[in-house]
Amino acid sequence: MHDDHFHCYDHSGKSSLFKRSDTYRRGDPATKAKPELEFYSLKQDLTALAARSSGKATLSVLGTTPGKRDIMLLKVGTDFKKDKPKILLTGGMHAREWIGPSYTYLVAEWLIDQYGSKPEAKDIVDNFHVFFIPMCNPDGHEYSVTTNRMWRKNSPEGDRDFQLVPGGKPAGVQKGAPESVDLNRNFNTKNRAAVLKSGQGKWSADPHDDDFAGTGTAAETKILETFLSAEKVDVMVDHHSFGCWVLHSPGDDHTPLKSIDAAAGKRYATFSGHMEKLLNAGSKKNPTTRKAPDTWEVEQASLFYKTLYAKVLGVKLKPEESVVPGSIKDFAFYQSRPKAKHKPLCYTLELPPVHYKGSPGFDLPENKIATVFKIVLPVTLALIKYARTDSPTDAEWNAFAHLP
Amino acid sequence: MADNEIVIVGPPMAVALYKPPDPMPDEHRRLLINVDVIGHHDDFLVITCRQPKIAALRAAGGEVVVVDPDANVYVSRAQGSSEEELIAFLDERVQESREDLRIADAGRERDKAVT
Repeated sequence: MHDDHFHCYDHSGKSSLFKRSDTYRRGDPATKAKPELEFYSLKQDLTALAARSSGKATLSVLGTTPGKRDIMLLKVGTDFKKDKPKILLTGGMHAREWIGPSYTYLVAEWLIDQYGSKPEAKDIVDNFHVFFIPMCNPDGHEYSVTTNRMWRKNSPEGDRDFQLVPGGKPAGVQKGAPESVDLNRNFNTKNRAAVLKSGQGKWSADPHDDDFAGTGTAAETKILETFLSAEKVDVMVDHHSFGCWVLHSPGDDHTPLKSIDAAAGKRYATFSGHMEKLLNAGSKKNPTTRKAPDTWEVEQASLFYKTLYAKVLGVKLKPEESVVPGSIKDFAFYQSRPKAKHKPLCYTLELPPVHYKGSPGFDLPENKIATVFKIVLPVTLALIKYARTDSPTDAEWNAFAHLP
Repeated sequence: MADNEIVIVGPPMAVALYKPPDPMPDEHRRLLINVDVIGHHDDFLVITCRQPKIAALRAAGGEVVVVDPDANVYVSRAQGSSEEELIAFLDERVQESREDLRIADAGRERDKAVT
């Protein structure tokens, strides 16, 4: 990993972000690039990665947000006209969950930089099409870096608590600003409209809430939906942070997957079990923020809050109160490829930390990014490798355990 | 403001510990469930919350301990403290809040007795 990396985001005052804040805020003096922090430096890193990939990675722009920031796509692989397994890795859907963009970028970096030295990297680059969208919500992310560390939604100007000046008084909704929405409640998934109509579930109809689902489709959502509709993927993993959870589709239907589709339920159970084992093995070797290893668990996304409320509060939620409509992974889940043997494998990975009392789920110290990378990379590589495999064995999964 | 000064968290968003009533009254279930969960502490959820919602959650029977009205202290503690220090900080806030509530309740009882 490069020292001079974009993931220098630690706001404790100890990080390189603060040391280098003047440069980041003013932008690149040579190119006069926009004076931005994470987004600006991520773009630089992706551009550099594509440039040194010897044609194995191409960087493109899927669209531009209301804040005039590009949503970037890095395609890793060759012969894109050929039918190869397609994998999409995303991050940064929720602004404050900074490990998502970092981790997603680092996987791409590993594949390119290790192509000549690790056979697993070469195999994936040569035989798969891996799409990276590390920053799905650049407007919100930038705001979480510069102004409000707790920001979750997209463009802040559409929220009544938007501050024109960091730390200043709320300025109210800005004229002409798009709605500020929780992008991961905004995708037009199969059951979203029904869930919204029911008034149940973990989403909000109040524009001032952090999980406001929106009254329309946000610009970012449209951009990502267009991409997913065209590139029907075999595997999609959206990286978030709130603890160590493997959450699989569907989120917008509380019926257990095995009852919706027995074959899909069986395949997901196999893959999720492998993921859980490998992640827990990795966590034992790599402590994140506390002395005891983090424990990873698996859940269907729609039942996650039901499980959490029971575990933490002893409160029973009805299954319909726990559904999370409108996530990107569900959008991919319902976009089955016409001749595909399998339903796509679609996951949200909730990356560390959270597993000590009181800790905020998305506030990972900068010096633990590499640790998370070490824990999760084997699982990402195995998911890619077995994207079109029925039922990989333990031994096949464990073949990735020694990486990176 | 100096060019290199970055305010991390603005004033509108509080961090609070939150526990809904059990059982939750049907008329308030949606409000009580729909909170922005960012962690947990003992039998509380750690949530972020706009200020007006705190009163609404309390009115609906939830226990809400405001850890930090603008989240700055909480975020810096979460970053800079040890696990034990962070837990002690939160425990202290729970105790203070419950003591404040006890005093307020006692005052209300006294007012009732007087009138």
